[in-house]
Amino acid sequence: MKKIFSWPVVALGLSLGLSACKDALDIQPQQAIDLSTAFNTTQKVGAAVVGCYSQLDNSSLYGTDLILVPELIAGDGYISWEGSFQNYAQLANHIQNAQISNALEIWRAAYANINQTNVVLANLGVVTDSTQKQQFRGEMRFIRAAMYFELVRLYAQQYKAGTNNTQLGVPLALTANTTIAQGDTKLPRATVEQVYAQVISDLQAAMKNLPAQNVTRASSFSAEALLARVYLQQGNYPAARAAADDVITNSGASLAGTLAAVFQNRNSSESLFEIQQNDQNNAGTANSGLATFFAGYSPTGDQGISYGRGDVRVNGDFANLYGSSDVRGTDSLTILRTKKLIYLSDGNTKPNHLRTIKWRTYGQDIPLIRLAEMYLIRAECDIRAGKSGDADINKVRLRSGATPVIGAMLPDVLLERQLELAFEGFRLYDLKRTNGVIRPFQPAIPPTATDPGSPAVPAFNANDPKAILPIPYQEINNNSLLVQNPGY
Amino acid sequence: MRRIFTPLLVVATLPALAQTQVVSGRVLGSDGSAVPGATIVERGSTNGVSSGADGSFSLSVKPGATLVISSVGYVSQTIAVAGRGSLNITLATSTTDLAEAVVVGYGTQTKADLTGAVTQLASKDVGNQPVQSFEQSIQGKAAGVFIENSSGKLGQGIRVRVRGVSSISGDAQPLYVVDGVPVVSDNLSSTVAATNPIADINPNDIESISVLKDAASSAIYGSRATNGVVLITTKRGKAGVTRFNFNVQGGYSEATHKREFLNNQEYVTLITEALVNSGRSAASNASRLQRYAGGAADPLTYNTNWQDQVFQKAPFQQYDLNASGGNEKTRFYFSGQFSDQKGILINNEYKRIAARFNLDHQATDRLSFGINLTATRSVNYRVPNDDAFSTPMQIVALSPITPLIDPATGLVSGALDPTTGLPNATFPFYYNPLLSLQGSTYTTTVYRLLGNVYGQLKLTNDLLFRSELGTDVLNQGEEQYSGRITARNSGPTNGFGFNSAVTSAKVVVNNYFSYKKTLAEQHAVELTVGTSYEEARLNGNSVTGTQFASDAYRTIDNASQITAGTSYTTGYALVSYFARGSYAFAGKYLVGASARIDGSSRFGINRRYGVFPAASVGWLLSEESFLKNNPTLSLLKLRASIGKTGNQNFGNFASRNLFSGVGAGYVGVPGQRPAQVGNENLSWESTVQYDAGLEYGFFGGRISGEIDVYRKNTTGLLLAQPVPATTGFTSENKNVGSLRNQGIEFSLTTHNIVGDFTWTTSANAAINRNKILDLAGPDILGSFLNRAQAGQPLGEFIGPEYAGVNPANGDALYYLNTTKADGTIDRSTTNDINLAANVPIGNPNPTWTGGITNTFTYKGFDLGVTLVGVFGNQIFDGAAQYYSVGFNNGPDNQTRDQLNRWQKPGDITNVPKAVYLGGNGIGNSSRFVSNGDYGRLRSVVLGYNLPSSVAQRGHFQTARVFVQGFNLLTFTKYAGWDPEVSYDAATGTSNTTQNNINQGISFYTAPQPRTYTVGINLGF
Repeated sequence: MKKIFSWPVVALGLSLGLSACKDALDIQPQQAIDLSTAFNTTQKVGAAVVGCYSQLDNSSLYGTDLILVPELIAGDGYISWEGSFQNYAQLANHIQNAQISNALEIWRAAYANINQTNVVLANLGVVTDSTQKQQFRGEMRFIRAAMYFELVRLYAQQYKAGTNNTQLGVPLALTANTTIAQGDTKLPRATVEQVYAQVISDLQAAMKNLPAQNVTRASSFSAEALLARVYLQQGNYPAARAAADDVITNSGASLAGTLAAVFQNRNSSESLFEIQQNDQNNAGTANSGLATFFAGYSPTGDQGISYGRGDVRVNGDFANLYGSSDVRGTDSLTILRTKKLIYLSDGNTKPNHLRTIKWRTYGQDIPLIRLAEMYLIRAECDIRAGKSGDADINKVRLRSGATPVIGAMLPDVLLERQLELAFEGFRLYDLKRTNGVIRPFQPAIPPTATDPGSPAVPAFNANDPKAILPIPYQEINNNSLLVQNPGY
Repeated sequence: MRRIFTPLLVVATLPALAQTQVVSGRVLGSDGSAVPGATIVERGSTNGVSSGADGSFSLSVKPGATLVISSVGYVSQTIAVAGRGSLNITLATSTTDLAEAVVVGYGTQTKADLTGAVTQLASKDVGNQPVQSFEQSIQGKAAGVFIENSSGKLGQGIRVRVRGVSSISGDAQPLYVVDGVPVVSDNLSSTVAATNPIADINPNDIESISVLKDAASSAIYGSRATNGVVLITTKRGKAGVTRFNFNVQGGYSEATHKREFLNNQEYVTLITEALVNSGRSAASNASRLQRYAGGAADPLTYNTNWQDQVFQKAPFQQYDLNASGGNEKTRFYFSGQFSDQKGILINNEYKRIAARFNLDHQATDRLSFGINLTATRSVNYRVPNDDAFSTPMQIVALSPITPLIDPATGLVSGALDPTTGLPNATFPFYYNPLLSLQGSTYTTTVYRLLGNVYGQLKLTNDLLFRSELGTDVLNQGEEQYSGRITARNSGPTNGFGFNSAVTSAKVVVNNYFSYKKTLAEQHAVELTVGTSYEEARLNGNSVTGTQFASDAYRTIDNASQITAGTSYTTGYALVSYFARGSYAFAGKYLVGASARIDGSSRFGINRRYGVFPAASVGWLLSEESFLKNNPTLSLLKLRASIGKTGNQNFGNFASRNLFSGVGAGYVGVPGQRPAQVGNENLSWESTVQYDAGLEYGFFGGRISGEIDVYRKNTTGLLLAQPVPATTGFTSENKNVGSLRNQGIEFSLTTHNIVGDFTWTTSANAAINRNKILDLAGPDILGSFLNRAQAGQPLGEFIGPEYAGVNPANGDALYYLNTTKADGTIDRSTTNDINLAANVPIGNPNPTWTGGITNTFTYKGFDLGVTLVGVFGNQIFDGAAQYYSVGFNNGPDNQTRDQLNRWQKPGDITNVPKAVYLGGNGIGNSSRFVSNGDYGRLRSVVLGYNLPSSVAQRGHFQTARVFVQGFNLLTFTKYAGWDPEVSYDAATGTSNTTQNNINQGISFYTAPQPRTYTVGINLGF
């Protein structure tokens, strides 16, 4: 027996020895790296900065929703949603509720990027080159400002000049969150005033830190141009004018030869900030992406090759607002034959509907801020100040072959903004700051022998509670400090 | 038994030979199949033999002898020879034979000594059914094991829940162990709809299935045991002549149920009313209908039943051939299978070729070794997920006034015109899923090699050392191609190709000693102690390409544009030590204990090792003198156990604080971003389970069964706890929160009639109550109304309570259900769903489940009938917001119940006013929750065994023909397609929390198949 029992001892020893190997449990992830090593060199911090730009192209941010969602909310009489995604249909018809998916996704994507800007800002210490450090700081504050500006406009009621703006804005997360302990920090909604103040302070800091030229990334003029837009939204016209004027005078940007070129070419002379995309890196080709929804045409005449789902249709009434010589309007021709910016879709789904040429290919860049807007801001501020804005407005109009305006008044410049900046996400916010009406009252049509008639449809104002998004349902569930917007 | 053959005994029995007769015959199971290896003993002697593979035996006995025939899993039978030379013996199936060997972790135990709750099923429960995976066959056959097929799609993920769901963010499926190797059962599909790797195991190779339910039986699997453990043992050869079995069966499937949608007349009436109510003009309404009707001036020109276009009568065929035999030294089992099943949805098909080779060799008295190996190739021709516009079932959204065939082209509506290449553009209003069925493929091909080699050394008569080296290598290739015809869905990219390859490789090393000894005839001791090491790696890559010269090219090298590429590698390792001991005194008093220590690479650096102990006691009262030989009560056993188990089935790197470059690059410039917040204390979920069981038998086993009550308290849930998105993250992994499952399980087997005509009934029922006790944070919301909320069962539907329709204006109403200042609930109603409080409105977890199987045999005939039932659960129809809302959410065709809509003041109805895109009543609420109770005639098998004299004329030992019906009848009040339903886009592994919470959802989910087959089993 003794002899035999020595066997199991050896065998057991072997088997335990095999599995007791300490390294066996030390398996490292290959697709991701630990935070401790993610930020220890300038190059790695730089990569995190790039990650923030990349996130801007997320389809829940500028890749699609930050442009498409406000356009649809303000779409009545302007654009129609004719796609199969019900969430967009609900937004276009103002029947969305607190669980609308876009509200959640925009919120999550924006705050993920905000946290990343905070993380980079907190880790700038490892960047030794002071120029580089400044640039990174400027870029992070620019991106953070852009995110908060979008959030406060989408999720909160309009800023009202001359008031304390105590209406609820969005939570202000300004510190880096990288540990489990910080993880469930609950933040209440800051007031609209506080959010705007943060946006302005971020943009001012960005202007100071950013270089005047930053290749395809944010420059000091990108920040200043965005600041002009922010001031305009606040109704702070002198400040908006000053910022716009400085950009026009000193940025070196110039209007591109045609408006189409701004969207067809990359980083045109007019561009002050744009999201870079290409065929591999873009916001989507099937279920997301601006061209996916806005476009619907065949680029070569070969109907087998086509672009877009054709889900967003430009309404004829809107297209007719352009003068006959204005290339921004339409001549009701297909994309291969048209000389205008609004074409008649062919080939692919839903032909013979008007579409915009601005969003036409999946890999195109997304110009977010361009010089024409600065001219129109300066013009509007001048008109509001009782001065003439004709020169600036006509710069924009004449470029597109439109007839010049003479003695333009406020409605003229507001209309010009609609015409020039159409489909770029401006209409809703312009209507909000001017107390506009998105859908006018439609009286009842009494029934006749041939027509069953229809009931009256109430007006939908830009400051309707449903013209802003709900605080996401899930977010309220996860953060008891959040207060829901009225109407949701 | 071996003693019988010792020379001494042979000599001793010699004198008797003079006056013997030979009796021969066959031992058959109650289903008519042969029972190999049954023991036939002359009563009062040691004279006996074992039956051969075909159940045949031959034995010399004294005239007037009585034979005792016994076999594991059957009720022993005593039969007088009475001078007959030939006897056919039919054994009734037993669930309580105390001598039955029950497969447990790292060994077997006899049923008598078992102190844990284990349900064992045999090959007859799983073989020869028209299903892809064995779990589908055991539905309703094991108490406390809830099995739910997601849909009628083939090879899809199956929910298996042993004693409820014990995890919120971790996997809730049991651990599957095949011949000692824990196998890969995780979904590896690239889509959000899970596939089932367990389907790679040929059900006809399975000898037995043990489901370990309580901690006493499962804790030896430690950190993976909380969800139960399913031990699968495959068939092995037996010494004797080589036996062949050939099975063939064929048949077809069809949908169990179709749903009623509006026809063209009803559609035009209702949508016109809705359009008018929305304020749209008569002219625009007329042009809209003309557009929907493919340009026809009369909107009633066409009347298309779209639903019928995606279903088919689907053929099924399966061939099995196996050979087994060997001698005292070497035994083998060798099998091959080809199975080809088409789905009830067109283009859906599952094919499997499986081979198995099991070999055992006795090298010396002390040393034996062997191999178990299976190689499988399965091909799954998949159809799109439930949430895709291209999924076949979403075809019901199309308008019945739209032509099936585009009159302009003669092709399916929406197809490209062959002359112009132009897609028909204006209709149908949604993408036509038939185009994907024509123009796209998604093929998943799996090659799997699963098996182990073992060596076993008999160190002493009582002590064994066994070493097992197992591997599970799974190679999965997915090829997807969507042609030009699908442009409206896949993007107009001139073809879209996707190709992925995944290799999952796993190595398992088990080394253990087992010691079995009975001391002084009263003290039976069993000990098992050992170690286990397991390492798994998962590597994968994929590439996506577009722009193909024509649809004839489908491989990515023909794509002129490569649009995406990925690769990943991940893995985990588990180092374990385990031990089990049991002690039985006088065969009556039983004590057992086990423990496992698991170290896992998944656990946080601060908590790498966990200890999982269990203890149990049992008392075989019927062996006590006061009950022994009681004519009525033949078995009474009490047992109780307590133990701790874990669940570590969550992400491999859930504890790490990670940055990732995936998707963070910016037009070619590399970037990175935070991916996950880490938690160095992250560890297993811990479940303490209490179980008490009673096993009973009456009248010598004519009536027998078990009753178990249990409570499972799970604490330290590995929770992906939601955090405010303002932190930059949406969840964090923490060990917080607790939940509880408790329940009762009953099983009962009665041999109602024995003799020439036999009737056996096996019934089981289980009640499980799941309750989340604490989440230590906010509720976790599912994708529809499902939610994890403290105080409620997991996945409870929580949302606004629908209050019907305001008779004055047709608005949908909801109960406020808010708490008033005086503490009472405000039951007044509102038409604003946002004002209604979210309250519990349904529970997707069944309150009880069960099954009943009746088996009848008469002469050569056998009939088996299995009914299953699921009761007390609710189903949420996630797509009702589109198709049961009177066009309030778009032009989708509507279910016929919408015809009862409110039309004028005073109308009393439950269906709100139809307003085109009016949003009236579309919000998710209890309006779309309905009861999901069902009873189902799961399987009916009628077989006939040819008399052996007839069979032998064809040189067969046995021959059986059978007809089988599967899911023949469903008894339910559920109005949807099928009450056994699970939205497949919530079954993938992309978000386990969501998968666990999102139960009981139907979302364009295909009904289950009803299948008819005929088949032949031949033994030769």
